[in-house]
Amino acid sequence: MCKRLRRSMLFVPGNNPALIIDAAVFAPDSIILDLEDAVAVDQKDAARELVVRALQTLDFGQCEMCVRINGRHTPFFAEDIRALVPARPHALRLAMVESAEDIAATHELLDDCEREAGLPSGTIKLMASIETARGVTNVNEIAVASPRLVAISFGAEDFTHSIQSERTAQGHELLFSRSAVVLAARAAGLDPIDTVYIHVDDDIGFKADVRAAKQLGFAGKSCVHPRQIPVVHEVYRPTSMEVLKAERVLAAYKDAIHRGTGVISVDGRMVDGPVVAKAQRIVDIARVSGHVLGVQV
Amino acid sequence: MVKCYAHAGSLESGDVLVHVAPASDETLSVQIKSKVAPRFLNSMQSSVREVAKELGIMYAAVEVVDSGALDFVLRARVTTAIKRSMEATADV
Amino acid sequence: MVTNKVGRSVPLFVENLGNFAPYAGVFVTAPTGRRHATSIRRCLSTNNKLLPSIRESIIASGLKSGMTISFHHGFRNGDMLVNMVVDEIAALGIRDITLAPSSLQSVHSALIPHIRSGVISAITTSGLRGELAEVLTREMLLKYPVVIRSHGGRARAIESGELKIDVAFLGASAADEYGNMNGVHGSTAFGSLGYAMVDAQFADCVVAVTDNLVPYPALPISIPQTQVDYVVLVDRIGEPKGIMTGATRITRDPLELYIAAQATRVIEASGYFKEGFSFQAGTGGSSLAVAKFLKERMSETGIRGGFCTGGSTGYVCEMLHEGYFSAILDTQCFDLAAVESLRTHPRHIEMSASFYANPHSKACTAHITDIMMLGATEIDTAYNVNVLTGSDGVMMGASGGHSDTAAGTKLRLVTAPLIRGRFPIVVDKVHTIITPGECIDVLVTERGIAVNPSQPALAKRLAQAGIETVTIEELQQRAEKLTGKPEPLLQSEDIVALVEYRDGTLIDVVRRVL
Repeated sequence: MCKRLRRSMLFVPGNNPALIIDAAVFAPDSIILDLEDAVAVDQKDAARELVVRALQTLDFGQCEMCVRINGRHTPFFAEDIRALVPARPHALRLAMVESAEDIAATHELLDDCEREAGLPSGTIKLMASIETARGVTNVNEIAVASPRLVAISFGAEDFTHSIQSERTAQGHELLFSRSAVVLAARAAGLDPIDTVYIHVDDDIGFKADVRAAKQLGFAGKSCVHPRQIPVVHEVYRPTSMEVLKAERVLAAYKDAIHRGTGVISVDGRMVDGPVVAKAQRIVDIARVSGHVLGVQV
Repeated sequence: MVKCYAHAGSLESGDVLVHVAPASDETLSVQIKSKVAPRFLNSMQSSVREVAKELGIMYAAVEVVDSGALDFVLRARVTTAIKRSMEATADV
Repeated sequence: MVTNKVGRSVPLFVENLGNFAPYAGVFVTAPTGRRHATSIRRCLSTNNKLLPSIRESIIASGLKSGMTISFHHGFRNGDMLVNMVVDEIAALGIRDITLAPSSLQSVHSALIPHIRSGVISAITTSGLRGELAEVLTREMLLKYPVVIRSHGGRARAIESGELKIDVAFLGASAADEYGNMNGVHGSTAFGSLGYAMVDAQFADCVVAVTDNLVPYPALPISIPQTQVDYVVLVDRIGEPKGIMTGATRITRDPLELYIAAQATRVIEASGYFKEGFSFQAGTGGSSLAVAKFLKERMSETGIRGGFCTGGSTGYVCEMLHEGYFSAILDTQCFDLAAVESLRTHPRHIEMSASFYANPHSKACTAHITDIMMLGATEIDTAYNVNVLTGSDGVMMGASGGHSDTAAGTKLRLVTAPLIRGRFPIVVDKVHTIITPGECIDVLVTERGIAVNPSQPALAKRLAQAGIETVTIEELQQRAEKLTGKPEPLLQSEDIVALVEYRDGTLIDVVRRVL
């Protein structure tokens, strides 16, 4: 079984029925139904009700269903969680996470709600969104604050405000923080997810942004428009050469296990744990991307 | 108990705008205006009445302006509108 | 009443309209007889065709009560001519007119009072829209049912004399005093006069109406002086804003783009996407986006197309100018960029509705084209397509070139969103059949692609290309899972419109909606 991919995470405003209904058509890896920034303060109740019923009614196919709930220090936080748990989204994305305590408190509330709903403990996962200076400085503690965590995302817009700077095309103001999020996530075995790119018509700029994110070690990108999804998937798509090489590594590994030999070498180079894991990831993505795989792995 | 007028939803395509007001008599009246009328009218009527019943509302005046909403959207908006109308200090 | 080949109950005789044969198959009716001919007339050097008003031209034409008049629909929803002429006809006390335009738009709702008063007692058209369509579907307003004809069917009927036009009032954006006219010059330029050419050739009396009288000879000559009896200069013949936009923009709607991308994959895998392929883009929604995606594929593969046909948009004209296609054969321009192209490019030429789609002509492009993009308001599990009536049973569209091209084109793709509003577009039986299912190859929606079981070779090619397909029943279930099943429409027994297939047989009727 292959690990869930989170290359593309499509934000969908939680109070917009038409967009919710069509979201799965574009086949993002994850859909984030947004109860937070995309919803006006006086419509939080309407959006919550709509999202709960959408989760209960619609078939979202293979997409991971996430809901971005309102921050811990808003009046909507607890009610969001209580209403959503019975609807069983795969994960909740918590905005503005600044401390391990934010995660722990969320984890506990989820424990209570899962118990009440008769769900196995830990059913609903968590994603932490780091959007402030405090969040960045605490990210290592945040990353290990709950076994429910599966991803940490970085939000550049709010972050740049919190450090009293402005966003630039090159993004130097974000470099350290982006890397900090990647490091904390990878060290804890979580997926780091990069911030949104709001210039929806700028395909070239977006592609460059996604390449940069991939280079930094991000597992995926938050998207604000369906047209961004294929661009992300294209950037994360392994080349045919990479796929071929990965298949050979996995074949050699399988062969070595079968024969009980200790050291594996492919093309004259030693192959160890991380190399095999990387090869598996490449093959997983290739399979989802529609590559025709040659070697059975 | 429906205490005051409230509404929920919008006129956007795929949505409904639901108006809820206290009933002038002891009935649950449901008026539906829809661009897709009349072919889902009966279904919409039952959905509205079902939701009202679930929320324990027996008397109310409900008006629905539909722009092609699926059933779960209608139910969500009716739920929200009724809940808002049940709050004493709703000022929507 | 009798049941035709697609299971619809149709009449065999209708008062004032005569006998009808039931639809029996796509190419079952062979042409017979000779073409209709008009009277021979002359124009002396002393003759002056130019008349001072529309009223004068009506009198000069000899139009009497009970006769048939026609118009073309090049001015689309900016047309002013039909309403102007019918107003004058009414003022002259003439009644019981059969109105036979190539199509009608919502701007023609001004005709409703003239129908109520009996000035117009019958209509034959390709399409009806707006309040006029609503009223004609809900009331028995006309004396006789509307006859809906496809573009090719109308041309056939006119050429054979089945639809005999007494007076054709043909609007032109430029004309000279002897009646040479075109639609590419002038402030109300609309492009191709394709839908007027058949009328000009076969109507008993032809009146050219223009708001732009140019010095003789008016070039280019789309319709020649030899077919024109009278010329009238009016202040304005159309409203430019209603006629067309500067350039048709390709949709930005993510769902329509997704459907277009899927359709492009189907085209590529179909086997028809090869050097010299001919293409008809269709209008609206996903269709033009398909042209864009095809261009990208053509750029990447080096494949170049043959001719483009049907109606033209600026985008497709650009593809011609850039060498992606070799020619455009044009019945109707959809934007000013296309008009400009028609005016200036040597390989963008006008063609008549007959050249385009007449099933009883010696060749029509509808029978030559490789790939056709089609729309649908509804499609049923037998792949029958409706483009005339909406989910409420009210007329709101047109037969157009749909059934013509579907009959003869090699690859017939219908693109549509699986759900419109709350309405599933895949139904048990469409409300009105315009195009029979045997003419449709594949339905492309955002929630799945279905191939007509009659096309196993195509299904195989798509499967080989890794394109997943499902049955149309499965698509219907996917839709109904979201929407629920719509309640049946309430309609009366009264027939408000007859749907004539392109060969003159009756494929369906439209009943009055309650």
